[in-house]
Amino acid sequence: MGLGQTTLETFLTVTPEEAIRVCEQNLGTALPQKFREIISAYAQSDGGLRWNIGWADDPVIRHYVRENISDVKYLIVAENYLGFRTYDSVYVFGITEDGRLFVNKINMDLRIDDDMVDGELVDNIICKLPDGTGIYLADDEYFRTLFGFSIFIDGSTIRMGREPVSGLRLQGEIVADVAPLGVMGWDGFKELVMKRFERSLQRYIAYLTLDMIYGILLDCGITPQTDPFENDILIVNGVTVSDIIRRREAVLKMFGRYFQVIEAWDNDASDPKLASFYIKAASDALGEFIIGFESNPIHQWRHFRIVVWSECLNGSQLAAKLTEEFRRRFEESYNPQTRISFWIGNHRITLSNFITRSITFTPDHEPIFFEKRPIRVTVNPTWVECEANEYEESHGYRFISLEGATIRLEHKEHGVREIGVEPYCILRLRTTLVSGDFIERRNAAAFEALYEEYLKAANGYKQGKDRMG
Amino acid sequence: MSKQVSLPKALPPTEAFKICKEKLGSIPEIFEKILIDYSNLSGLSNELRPTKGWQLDWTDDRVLKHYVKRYIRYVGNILMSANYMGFENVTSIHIFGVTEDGKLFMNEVDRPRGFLKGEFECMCRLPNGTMLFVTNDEFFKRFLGFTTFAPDGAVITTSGEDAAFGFRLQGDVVADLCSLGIPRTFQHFKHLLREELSRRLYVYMNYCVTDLLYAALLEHGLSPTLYDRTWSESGTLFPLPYEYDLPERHVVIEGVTYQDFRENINGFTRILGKYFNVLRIRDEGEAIKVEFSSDDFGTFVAVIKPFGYSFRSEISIVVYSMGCETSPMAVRILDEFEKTLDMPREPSEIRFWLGNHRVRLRNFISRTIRFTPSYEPIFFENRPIPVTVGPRLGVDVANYAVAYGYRFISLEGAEIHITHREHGSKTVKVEPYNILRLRTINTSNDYTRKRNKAAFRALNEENIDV
Repeated sequence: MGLGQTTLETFLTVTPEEAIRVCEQNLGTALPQKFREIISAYAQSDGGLRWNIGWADDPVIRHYVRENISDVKYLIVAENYLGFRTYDSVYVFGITEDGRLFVNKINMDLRIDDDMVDGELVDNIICKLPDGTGIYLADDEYFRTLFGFSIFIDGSTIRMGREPVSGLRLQGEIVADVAPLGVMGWDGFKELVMKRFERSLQRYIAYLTLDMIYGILLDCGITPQTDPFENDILIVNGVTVSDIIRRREAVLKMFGRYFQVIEAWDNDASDPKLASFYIKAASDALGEFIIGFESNPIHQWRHFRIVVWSECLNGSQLAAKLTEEFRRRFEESYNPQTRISFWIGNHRITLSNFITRSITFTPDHEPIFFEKRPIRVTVNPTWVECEANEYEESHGYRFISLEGATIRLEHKEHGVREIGVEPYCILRLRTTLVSGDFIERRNAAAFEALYEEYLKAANGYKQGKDRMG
Repeated sequence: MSKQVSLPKALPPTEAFKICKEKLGSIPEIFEKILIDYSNLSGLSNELRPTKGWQLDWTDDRVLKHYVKRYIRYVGNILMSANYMGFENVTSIHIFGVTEDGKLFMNEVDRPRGFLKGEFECMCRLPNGTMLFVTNDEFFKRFLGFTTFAPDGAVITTSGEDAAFGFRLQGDVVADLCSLGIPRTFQHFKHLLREELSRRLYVYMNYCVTDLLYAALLEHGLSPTLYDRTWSESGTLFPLPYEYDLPERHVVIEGVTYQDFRENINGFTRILGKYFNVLRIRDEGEAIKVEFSSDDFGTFVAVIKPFGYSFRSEISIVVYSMGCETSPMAVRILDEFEKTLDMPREPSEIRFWLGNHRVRLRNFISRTIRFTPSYEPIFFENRPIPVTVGPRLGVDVANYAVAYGYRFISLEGAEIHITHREHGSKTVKVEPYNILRLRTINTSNDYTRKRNKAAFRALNEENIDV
């Protein structure tokens, strides 16, 4: 028996109207009217070369689509998104929460040629347009993942359990990532802050120790210098670490006048340029610490650097005093009325009852020679084991929610939203993902739209004048 | 027949010291001991002989002993004045002196090439061949970088001149003064500050108007990018943190070519026209200048230029003032600034260390004041305006720049309180409305390195002795 064709693909090719119906049948819901119009317009556009843009109210979108969406490999349709896959990106249409059409461009890792399909969509073809462009079915989550968010917050509060939640879209392109600190109530938070303060205090006590060493060296006639490029070290020119090791007794005696020297050792380096010498010492005020004398083999002059590490603050009177002062000042300075206000794109964000994740505290105690500097305390979640992690402040997690924390978002078009956040969470605010060239291409479209608007106005004025004349 | 040059007669050090003393009037007695010690050095000719034989029984300072033993060598001439004695070699002069509290000090300063300038009189030759000259204290003071010593409680002034340099306050700390060039009253100083702010205000106004322009562009669907740039002295642009000055804020529109923008400039002026009165468009080929005005801010020009590399489609818009000093907003800011100045404030104290001298400045202010107006831009952050007061003098004021250390301004009742572990404490008053620079006396570049080495040797020696 001879069959007319060897593949079923031609059975999939349908008219644009049938394609829309097939999409709706597969999705189990009606497509937004705008999507229908876009699919129809695309089917008649010779693969994106001649877009009939009647469906777009927004002149910027009109220009953007006309200039950019062409050479489409296939369409991806979901309940709330419509994607046009090209060689290296997807142009995604969607409807905002206030019913407006938007378009965005997202770069794709995989570059595809004709007849290639992204892995997760390969079995999802539902039909083909007459020009052969396939339409693939996807769910909203597929697009949300591309945009870098997971859910749109339509309620009034961000609620979460014990796990971090990322990708909560708040308004327009504003997305929040939230992670719990892992503390119970204000007391738990305060305890966590104090714990983090201890770590910062160690560094500060080392700084004070270095300040004291500076004074000791000056007293002995040695003139140390600070390094403009490296914090918290002293440089002594004219003497090498080998000199120190050779005459260690003199050095230990000198420090012994001010501290209790516990032990001293060197690194037994065969090359004097690599020699290091360490003294473990303690004092009632500063606790236990190590003073390191380290060479710099690159440096051509005779010189070494002095570094201090605070080892243990148990029994340190100064540490106890500073801790008490910090505790008092932290409790006093907490003010729930504080608002933090900034702009992301053209969304005005106002955070109420949030504090910044880094708290700075300048103690009353003054170093003798060095400048008085603040102690910076960065509050990390309790469940984070490693200092370097994806929830670091440098990754954008800059704020901590307190009792009654709210995020207020204001936008000229989207209006005003106020969303509550559970207390004692770290918050990152960012935007959805967009292609690197989306902004510049959108600018070009906006500029075209602007000129078109001007021409219209100018023509209107001219015609009016002609009529008058 | 060649001319015979007769060498001055060789004298023993005690004799040499005596004739110097006769010439100069009085000399610290310790100089005689140093001279004797130096003359007793044995060996070859002076030029070749390292001075290993210093006895150094004239000082208890171990650091000084090690320094002298190791580094004072190859001496060509000895220069002596009423208060200083210098051992000159090819590269440097080691200067001995006696501090105000009677302590011997020694410093090394670099010797300029060629002949030394000054008034010298050759007195004699020491037995080892070193020539001995007498000169005046000014010669040494010039080398050390100061002119006069300011005693405790003294008032230092510019004495009606534009500037006065080199008041040695204590140890190696020296003060230089430069007059602000105004009558010395708070009213005149306030007027000067207002004038300075008025001169710099246009930069802030440019910033505020750029903020409005940015908002207008956003509203019309454009997404501009912002860059902060400031002009370097060579005229090239490079980014700098804004603490240094208020930089120009560039609004960059990516994706639009300069050519497109130029052809469709009316689209831009339409946006501008919604918020400002567009006065004129000037196409100058390499740049388009759109002049516009606002009732509140004054008159400005937006300069539109290609930005970045030529193959990229980017344009930048920078707003410059064309006259905003008398605009209502400028007057409001200036009045607000003046009110802030009138507010009573606590007497200020600026504290820092200079070497191991603790310096406290009372009734001084930093030369750069930062004023943040209550007006808040819409999108941009609220920046303070740096107001740096410059002297109103006929001379080249660039020499008195902040970069050269002229950082503080004395107010009524200005005092410098200076404390040192060995020198003790003292207070020097400063005439009001001067710019102050504090520095140290001149030393040779490697003096600290050499002194550290000597101090370390002394430390070790001390340990062995015990």
